[in-house]
Amino acid sequence: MKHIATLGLSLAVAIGLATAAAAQTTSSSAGNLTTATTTSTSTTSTSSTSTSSTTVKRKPPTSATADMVNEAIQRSQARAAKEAQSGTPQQWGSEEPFTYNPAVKNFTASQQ
Amino acid sequence: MYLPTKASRARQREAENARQNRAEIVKALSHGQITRRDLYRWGIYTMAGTLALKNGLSPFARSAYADDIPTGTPRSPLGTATKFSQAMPRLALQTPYTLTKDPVTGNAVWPASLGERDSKRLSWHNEFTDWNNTHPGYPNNGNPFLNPLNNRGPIEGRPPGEVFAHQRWDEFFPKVGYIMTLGQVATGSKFHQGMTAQNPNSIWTYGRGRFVRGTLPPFLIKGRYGEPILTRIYNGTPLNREENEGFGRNETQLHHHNAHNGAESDGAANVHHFPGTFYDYRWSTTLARRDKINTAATDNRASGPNGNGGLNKVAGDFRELQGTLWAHDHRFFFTAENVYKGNLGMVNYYSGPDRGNEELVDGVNLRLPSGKLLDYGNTDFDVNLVVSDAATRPDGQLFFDTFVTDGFLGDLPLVNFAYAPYMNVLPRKYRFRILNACMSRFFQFCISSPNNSKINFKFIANDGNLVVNPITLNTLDHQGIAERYDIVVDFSTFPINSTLKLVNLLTMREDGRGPKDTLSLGQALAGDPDDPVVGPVLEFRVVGSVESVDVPGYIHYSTTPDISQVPAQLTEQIPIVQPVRTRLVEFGRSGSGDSRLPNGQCIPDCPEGMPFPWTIKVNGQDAHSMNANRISLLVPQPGQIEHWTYVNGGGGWDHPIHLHFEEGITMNRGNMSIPNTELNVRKDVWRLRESGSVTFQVQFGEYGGSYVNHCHNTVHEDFAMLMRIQLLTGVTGSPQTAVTPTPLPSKDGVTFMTPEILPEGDPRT
Repeated sequence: MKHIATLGLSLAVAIGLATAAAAQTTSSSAGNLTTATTTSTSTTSTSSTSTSSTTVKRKPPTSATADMVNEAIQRSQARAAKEAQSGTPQQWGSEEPFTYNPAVKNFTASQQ
Repeated sequence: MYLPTKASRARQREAENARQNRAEIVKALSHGQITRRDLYRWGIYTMAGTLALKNGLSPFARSAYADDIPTGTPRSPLGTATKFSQAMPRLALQTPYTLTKDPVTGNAVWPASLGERDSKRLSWHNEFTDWNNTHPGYPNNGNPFLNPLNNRGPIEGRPPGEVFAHQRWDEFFPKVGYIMTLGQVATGSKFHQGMTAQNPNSIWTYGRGRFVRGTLPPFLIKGRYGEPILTRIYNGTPLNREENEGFGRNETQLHHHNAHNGAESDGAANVHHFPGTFYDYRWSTTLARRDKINTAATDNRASGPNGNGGLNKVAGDFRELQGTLWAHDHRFFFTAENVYKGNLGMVNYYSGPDRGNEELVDGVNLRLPSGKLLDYGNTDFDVNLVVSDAATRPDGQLFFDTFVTDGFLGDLPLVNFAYAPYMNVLPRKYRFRILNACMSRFFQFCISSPNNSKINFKFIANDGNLVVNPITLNTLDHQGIAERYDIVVDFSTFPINSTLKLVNLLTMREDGRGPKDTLSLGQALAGDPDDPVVGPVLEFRVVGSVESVDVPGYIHYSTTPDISQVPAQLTEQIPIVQPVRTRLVEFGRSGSGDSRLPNGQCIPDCPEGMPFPWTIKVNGQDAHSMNANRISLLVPQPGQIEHWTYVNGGGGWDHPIHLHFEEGITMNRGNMSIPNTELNVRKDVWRLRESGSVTFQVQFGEYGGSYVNHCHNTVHEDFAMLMRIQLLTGVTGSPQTAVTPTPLPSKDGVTFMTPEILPEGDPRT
């Protein structure tokens, strides 16, 4: 219990002093991606029955294409550019607006 | 992050108060007196699970005494230590015991004088379980296979059953063995004689024998192809988890970084073991592709030294021979703390070509600088350098900030765990095996001459893999955590009494996320007031004689001719071919990983309330953080050649990504430039670079089971930037041709559960 008492006191003092100096954390908001890698909707089933669904679950790709790699690299570069501009670390999906441009090749099949 | 030495006393006090506040929180959390939920409620933690930028708490909050300057962290006290005032210690060479095979049981038998139980194909956990099944009343049923320290659980941490039996036991029967204990560091251990001695629980490192104290410097084991090794590791850390001087977990699994071993001996299959127990790792010295190439062992280059000037030929591809390896803790969620605390050592593998003997002429031996007094494994002129950074508290005890999620940087440059030492060298060629053993720091080294200019040297191996042709450089590429660079430096042109320095040119971002700038040599030699690890870290003194480390008492003189060589060709190139499949793996940041189960538990257990800001995506699908029961990538068959691309998914970071078990041949970095030290070179750790990518060719074989792929910024790794890969590449008839269950270690023994498999990582149809 000694630690708790010490902790409470020192933290109270420390945080109390923080008003002028504390920097603000920035939260990033999720937006709309203009591209999506794969869309899938889950289906439900049981051992004895299955329920019909209006959407069909697409099997996730188990092999990557050069185009997928190219898009991932472009997305990464967009994140880095935004981070450099804003100084704020990026979150997944926070690189909007991002539009994949297949004509810009960062990675080609021949590189495989 | 570290305050300049000229910072005002007020700023020093402010920074130290902030550090003490963080230390109090860590202690209160570890003692269960507060919860992370309390920290959220008090505004000390952000919703992302990171420390709030509060003055008096965070080193990155603005100082109350200096506008726009972070609070920082106080410098580690140096005492009376100064740079280059102590000789560099060589790593602690371990001496092997000879093992014999019991003709009846097939066990590996230790010398009787040691009093050790046999080492077996199956774990002693089986006997423990069998006894309990026939003798009710555990733990008070007289079980002779009980952990003797706490009277709970089995004596061996390796799980029971065939899944954790040593694969191909008879084929790679261990011929030599080592007994080592991970334990409290020996009394009087220091980074420098002018510094404070470390408390027993400030450093946990390895000592030779059963339940002995640990020693500094770290260990060195010399292995050779054709001589499998059994390494028995005792966990001699305190039973009480809280006796850790503020950081480090008293549970361990020892990962033999990229040796070609079965998953049960990889040391990263979620099988950490507890104080009082041992774990038998069989380091097989298997040469990769032994089931596919040179299967009859007819190629002289695929071989190991036999101890008498000859060779023991082995099956496999000589182009995949390994040399400079290391071993370190891999307890999931606590790796950074444990490795930083001293849980590491190096392992050199010797082969026919890379013999560690510069004199023998047989058409195979490359005669690289090493020495000639021993048949193989000479280290007089072949030197392991474990380069790392550390920080201490004001009382001089080793300090680690468990609050940081981006990266941890120390302010003490250590070489072989000695503070900025010097090394006497003869005017001749030396080989240096440089390991970056930091938690988050990248290096970029050059060697400065006596007149402060860069000298040329030859780059001969990357991550323990010989390059085809030596590459002449005067500055190394960035060197990420866990990367090994082997270079040959020729001191012959420098007169006696010359001094040269190994200089780190690379500054780091203050938050530890990655490298910032490469300084000129002049700038680096002048030192960086914000970062004492930038600049010279090791001094070479050219002298007229040195005592041998291989044969103590023998003196080498500068007048003896240097007969070592660096041949124009060291190995042959493995071709890049059309792959069976390609994989895309993105390493990024989600802010809300999914390591926890619905009940809030991690697999294995993790600190209460721990955040998981790092995630991994396979083939563009959903992002996940580490769960040892989730298979993210599954490799269906041995020998299939795949091309993998790693992409750095987030801006502002660099990540050194490590693939266990197999090396990949580095093909490209997208449209970015790729240095000769990487192009078509085999590696097991790739720095992704900011907004970068890397593509490599890889295949798996000989063994199978559960391995991992992760960021080797161990701070990121501990915050779950890691994924499980499952290899169905075991030999026919072994359990490792199917998905293996997930072991769940506990003090009472190991149980298993069935893993989940991400569909995007499973190419089976």
